[in-house]
Amino acid sequence: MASERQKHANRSNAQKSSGPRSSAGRKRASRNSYRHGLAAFFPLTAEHARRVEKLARKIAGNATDPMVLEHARAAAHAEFDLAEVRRVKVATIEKALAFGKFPSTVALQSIGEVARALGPLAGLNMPPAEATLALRPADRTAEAVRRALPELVRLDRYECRAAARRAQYLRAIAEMDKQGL
Amino acid sequence: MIARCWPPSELLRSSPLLSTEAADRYQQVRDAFAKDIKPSTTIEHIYVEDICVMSWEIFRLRRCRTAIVALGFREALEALLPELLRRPGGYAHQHQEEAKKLAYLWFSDPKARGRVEELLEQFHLGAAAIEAEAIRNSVVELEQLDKMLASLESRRMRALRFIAECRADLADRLSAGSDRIIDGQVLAVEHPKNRKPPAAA
Repeated sequence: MASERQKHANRSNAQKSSGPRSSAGRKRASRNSYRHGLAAFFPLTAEHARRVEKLARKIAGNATDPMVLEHARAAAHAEFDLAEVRRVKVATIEKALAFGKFPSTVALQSIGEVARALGPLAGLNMPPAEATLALRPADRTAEAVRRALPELVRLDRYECRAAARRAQYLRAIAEMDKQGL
Repeated sequence: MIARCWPPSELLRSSPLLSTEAADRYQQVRDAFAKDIKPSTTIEHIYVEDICVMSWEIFRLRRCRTAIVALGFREALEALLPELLRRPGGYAHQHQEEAKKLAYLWFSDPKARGRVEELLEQFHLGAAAIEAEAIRNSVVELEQLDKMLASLESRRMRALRFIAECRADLADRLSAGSDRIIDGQVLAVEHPKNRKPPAAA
């Protein structure tokens, strides 16, 4: 446990360095924990913002009420988030299709997974994962989906979240439409 | 207020297809949904597109579910056969080589298939035992697939309910609007000259 003297020193040192101060530095630091952007709720590029605005205008139609427009923007944003998650899902399966094995970041959970991972190293004469992909397209897809499953389950969470957000705003717009706003 | 007519634009078309899947089949699914639901508003178009993508994913995961079990047959046979080949007092691992050979030949050689059936019958088992073993080996994956399928099914149903609610609301408003028109406007269609003077009270 830190002594009172150490705590005091820590606090005074922290005062000397409180992170980046310039706007560019702050902007860069704001993306320190950025991983894949699937949980982000802000336009990533100007092009993305333009497309969001275009879709929002189409959703809102002739509405002039600022609340409707704001809800339409949020719904459009969620729609693009959803499309992005779906693209990542497809890319994840394609990656497993192309490379056979799928480098997982999660801990190996079964004896089979451990054996598959350690097999080539331990000289157990197990074939490399990419060599064991089935040959028929339907079987190859199934095997690729199976290998990508842990990632797909995680992506499903982001997909559900984006879909729920979109539904929430579209419902609000429909409600406002009912009220004639 | 909400745009009532908006043809589906490329803006929303993010292809959910894998390189092993047929684009024309997906297009058929999209056309069928568009024909059945006939989306008219932007929001309906968004939801119809969503339902197409989710339905396609459901087809894919269901196909994968079956294929994952089928692909596990060889591994299941390799696990099952040493136990069936083992004599009393013997060890299962002594029969692993023979089991592997039989498991490999089971798919193509009728003789090997017959031998496996014979072994299964000795223990009052059938081909279902192989399937059961394959399912047991893939239970983690199948559970994850089922979870994803349940999530997709529930979201698809919610999307369909939302369209139905929008349609019901539109129907209510059209009905109320047409009532107003009938009550207020149709009587005024008559030429004022032909109107009878209101009866004296």
